[in-house]
Amino acid sequence: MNTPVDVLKTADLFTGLTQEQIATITALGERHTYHKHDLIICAGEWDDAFYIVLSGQVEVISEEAQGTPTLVVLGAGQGFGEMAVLDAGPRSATIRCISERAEVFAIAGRRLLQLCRRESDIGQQLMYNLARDLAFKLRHRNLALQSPEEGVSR
Amino acid sequence: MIYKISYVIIGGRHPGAIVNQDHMPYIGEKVQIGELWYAVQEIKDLLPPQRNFAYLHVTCQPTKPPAKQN
Repeated sequence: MNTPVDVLKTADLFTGLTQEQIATITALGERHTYHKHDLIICAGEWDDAFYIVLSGQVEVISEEAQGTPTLVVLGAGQGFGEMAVLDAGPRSATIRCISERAEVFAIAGRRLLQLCRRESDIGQQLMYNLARDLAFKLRHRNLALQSPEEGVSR
Repeated sequence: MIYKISYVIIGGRHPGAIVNQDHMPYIGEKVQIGELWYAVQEIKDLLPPQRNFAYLHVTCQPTKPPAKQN
């Protein structure tokens, strides 16, 4: 079985960090397994854990979204929960497991921020990576909203 | 190289997916998002590569699941 460090090396949220630095982050968290339809995060709750998908798929749901409530599906290597880490607000969306099984790595946001303050090299790179990841999610959302209508292929 | 992919589904009813994978997608490849399957129609660079990551925009259409292998 891959260790979290192995998988986290393939997540761009941790690009630019050394293996030792990734191991330092990994030591702050733990692996959780979810099954289909399990809720990982509930919108409105107050919790600051940050998650990385190690395997499987989860969907991001907002009942306030126009059209379909699912905002995006996230697969291996993707992070979620970063908003509550950054702004200490309530969860803005619900996250649900949609694959038969999904493994995620969870880190308490408070501990992650403490590490970022203590180890400024890690903190600067991680915050830059989080900003890039949020920008990528916005680009994806814009592309999905612009997607043209078309029929079913065979 | 790790490929960070924005999978966008033609039709606009599905929000698509973001996935990191270790292989370059190819036209016609079938990918599973949730319970449904999609065929890759088009692949474009979305952002310049950085370190060992490539950032791609992949357009897909709904398709049938791949035939089960014996």
